[in-house]
Amino acid sequence: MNREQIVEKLTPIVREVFDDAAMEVKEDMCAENVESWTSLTFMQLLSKIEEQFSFKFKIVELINVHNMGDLLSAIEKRCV
Amino acid sequence: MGDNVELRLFSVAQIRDWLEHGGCYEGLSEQLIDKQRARAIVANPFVTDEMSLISALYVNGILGAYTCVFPDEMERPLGRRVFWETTLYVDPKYEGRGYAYIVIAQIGELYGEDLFDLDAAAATVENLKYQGLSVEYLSNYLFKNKHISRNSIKGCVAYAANAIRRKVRSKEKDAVKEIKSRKYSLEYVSQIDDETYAFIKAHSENDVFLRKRETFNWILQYPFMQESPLVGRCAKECVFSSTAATFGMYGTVVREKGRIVGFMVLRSTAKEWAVKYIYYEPSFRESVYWAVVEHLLAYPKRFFFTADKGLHDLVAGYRIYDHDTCYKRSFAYPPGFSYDREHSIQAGDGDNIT
Repeated sequence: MNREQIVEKLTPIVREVFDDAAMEVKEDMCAENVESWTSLTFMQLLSKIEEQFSFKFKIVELINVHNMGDLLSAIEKRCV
Repeated sequence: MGDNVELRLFSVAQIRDWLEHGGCYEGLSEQLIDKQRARAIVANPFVTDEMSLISALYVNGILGAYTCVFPDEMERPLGRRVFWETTLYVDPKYEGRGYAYIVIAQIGELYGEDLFDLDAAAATVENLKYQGLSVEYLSNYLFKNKHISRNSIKGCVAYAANAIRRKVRSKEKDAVKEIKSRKYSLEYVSQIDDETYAFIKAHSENDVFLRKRETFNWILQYPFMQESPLVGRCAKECVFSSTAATFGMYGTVVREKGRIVGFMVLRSTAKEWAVKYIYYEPSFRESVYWAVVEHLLAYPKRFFFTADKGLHDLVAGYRIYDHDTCYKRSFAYPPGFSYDREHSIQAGDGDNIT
């Protein structure tokens, strides 16, 4: 699965978690620039990603996730 | 360029070494944990040197998040080793990065099958659920007297009005009369002797978590309580320290006709009393409750917490406080553990070093 396909699959999850039906997935999205991105919504996001993509994140994969781009890269590595 | 994030685990042996060496030693410093609390951890009766108890996350070498657990044992199944998640901290500037998840996940990798938590903040509960723990909610009761500032004429009038209203409404006189008519005696103890321990053992069969004599002695005597400088975490810039202005644990033995009929551990902070553990002989239950009321009247504080419904009913009935409310506190437990509500979880379980 390439990055574009991941974004496509991720978009409805992001919209649901951040409660914004028009939200587009952007690489630079993070807690600083998305108002509804909190520790709780981030966890919900991780949980939904794991469910949708059928894998469980390892701690090492999350330790350097600072924004959506990092998260996409972490998913991409799992979906090769 | 992104931040450099590093995750570290600290064992009991490392905490002990740091206490001996002082300063910043192997990544441990007073920025993470104050020495009184560290001494409390290493004095816990269930720790072993190799146990990792603190998970800390550093961002560019600076502490960004941490969590701490401490070991305990269960009454049922007897002797099962468990770990209480006690404190979770994330530097507010890193909110939303999942650091709470990461530090808890690291602890979860070690003790996930045996990890418990009582009365956690909502965000911690969500984290624990995400780690696979189940959550139920238990009742706790909070009594409260109004705080009215007397810094203005209006405040003085309101204070006087409330004092009169309390006098009229409260049945404190009746309570004092009842206390005087009772034959029990109240005694404060700083350690558990053979007789007290035999009593606790005989009356704690319904508890989920085991309370050994060493555990009670640890709670009543650990250095955190006795030596902590008791300053706010912000003032001290130490995220893992006491925030209470005063903090103490009181072992309280109730006797009638010379023998023990009740034992309690009461926790005191500047503004509150809380019954953390309570054991009584069923036929002397009322005497033990009255002993608590006597204590509350002798050393009044603004708040009072108890998880004991019978004690709540008695205190509420005599209207010693302006308000009382029942609130729910979370109890998180690992997969494979089944919680039977017939068995008792005491208010102090999981809350021994906070």
